[in-house]
Amino acid sequence: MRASCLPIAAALLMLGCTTAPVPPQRATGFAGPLRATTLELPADEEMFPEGPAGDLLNANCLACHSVSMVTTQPVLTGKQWQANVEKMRSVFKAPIDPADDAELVRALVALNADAGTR
Amino acid sequence: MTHTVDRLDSLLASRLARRRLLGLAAAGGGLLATATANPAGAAPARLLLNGGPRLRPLSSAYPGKGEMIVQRARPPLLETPFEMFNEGVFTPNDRFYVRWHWGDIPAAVDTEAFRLGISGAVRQPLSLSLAELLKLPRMALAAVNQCAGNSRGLFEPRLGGAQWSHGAMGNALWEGVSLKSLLARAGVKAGALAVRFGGLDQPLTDADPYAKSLPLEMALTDDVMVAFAMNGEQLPLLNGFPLRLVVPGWYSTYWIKALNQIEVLDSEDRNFWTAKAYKIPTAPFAHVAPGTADFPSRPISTMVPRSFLTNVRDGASLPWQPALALSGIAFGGAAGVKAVELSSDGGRSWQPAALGPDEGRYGFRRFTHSVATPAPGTLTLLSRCTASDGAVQAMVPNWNPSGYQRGCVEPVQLVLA
Repeated sequence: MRASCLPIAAALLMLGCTTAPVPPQRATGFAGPLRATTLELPADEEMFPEGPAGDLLNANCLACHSVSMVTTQPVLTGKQWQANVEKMRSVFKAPIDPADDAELVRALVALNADAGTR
Repeated sequence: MTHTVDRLDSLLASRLARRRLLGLAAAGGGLLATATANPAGAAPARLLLNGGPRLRPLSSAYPGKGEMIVQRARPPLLETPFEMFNEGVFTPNDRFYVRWHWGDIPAAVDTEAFRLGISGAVRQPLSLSLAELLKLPRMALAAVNQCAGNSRGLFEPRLGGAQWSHGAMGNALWEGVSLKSLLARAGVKAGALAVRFGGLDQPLTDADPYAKSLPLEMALTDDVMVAFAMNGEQLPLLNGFPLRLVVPGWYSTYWIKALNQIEVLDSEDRNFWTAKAYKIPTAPFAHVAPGTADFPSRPISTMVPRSFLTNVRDGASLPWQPALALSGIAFGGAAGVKAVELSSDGGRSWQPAALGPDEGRYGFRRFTHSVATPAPGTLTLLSRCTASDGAVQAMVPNWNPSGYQRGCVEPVQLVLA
């Protein structure tokens, strides 16, 4: 289809979308040198909700990762959360006491019960 | 294990102290100016996922990064906002997605002291400074870097893991030294099987550090590179400064960041990350029936073709007009883009899209097309990429328990009113 067949608005939109990006100059390349750099990550102060369940999650999860690792998950079953807790302990060597598993899984299921609506 | 627990305890203690401090600041009505990964008040991003939670904070607080979707604050999982893919086929460094496995990521790199080691089954182990690497013959190519779990949040049924939409991918011009030439300098011994790559990041526990192996024959192919530049600049620390392994056509799990160890192996790699993790079903499209746990598997490797309409968003309402100009990006996976086709009738008929400039077989390729829209109403658009090796995007989504290698045609439904 030729652009001239299109109404002006569509033709303009098309032009806007087909503007070719300017490719980086390959011939020039990276001039260097590499400059030393440091990384200061933003503070991650989010904690699990107040209360005994939140305290247990804070103590077992937050040393390695933020709350968001948990709260971005879809609704998962207790069995799926149990598998996650076991993976954290056996594969990723998190020092989670197996005696806490049942309480942890209950806390995780409750925390994410409304995940489908957020 | 003792030192692990100590480290974890001290980390947790500092976090609890911070929380108390924040509590006090709030009680006193004080305002804390510290940059935060969880900015309160900023409008969140609403991701196109197969169900909730869909909302994610947007943050510009990460060093070297502009506004990014925060999938996980720590260790950072930062997704590229999808509208970036409409702006050009190269993804800017400050919007390129970020994914780290372990909590101890390098906080600083001393460019004078840094060394890249090449060891193991080689005749001459090497320890190269950055200055030495920069003097070696160079190569450059455009390549898509994509997380194995990109688009995991669209799997049905849902599964755990980073809930990415489509933004765990990016295309950059990578520049560096060919891996093959470095291995030739070290001299690979007869009987070598694989090459393992490790970086500066470390676990906070006694688990295996993040490392991945390539089969030796793959490591010796022409396009694998130790890159020191990305889009003409040094890499952002969050994307692997000072060196990153670039494995064009393969998923990002192999693209080791802050690369400082190359080890030639003469036996099978037993490290968790190669031996156990990042496995996919051997079945076509890495697909198994949802819920299947036991299946023949293999390490994930080459990417599959994908295409995305980038100037329209699924679920959007647009004013009706008799024709709709469409634009998108495609990539062929391990090969170039041969063709992109579009359908506006559910896949009954397909029209070829025009392809933009070819920036290299491993990179994104722009496509454009105009579809006739005779009347207002609902319109479902499909785009389908065929790679130059003959691979074609599937019409139906795949499923596997890790949520890897999504590559199906992604419908975009619009309301034209």
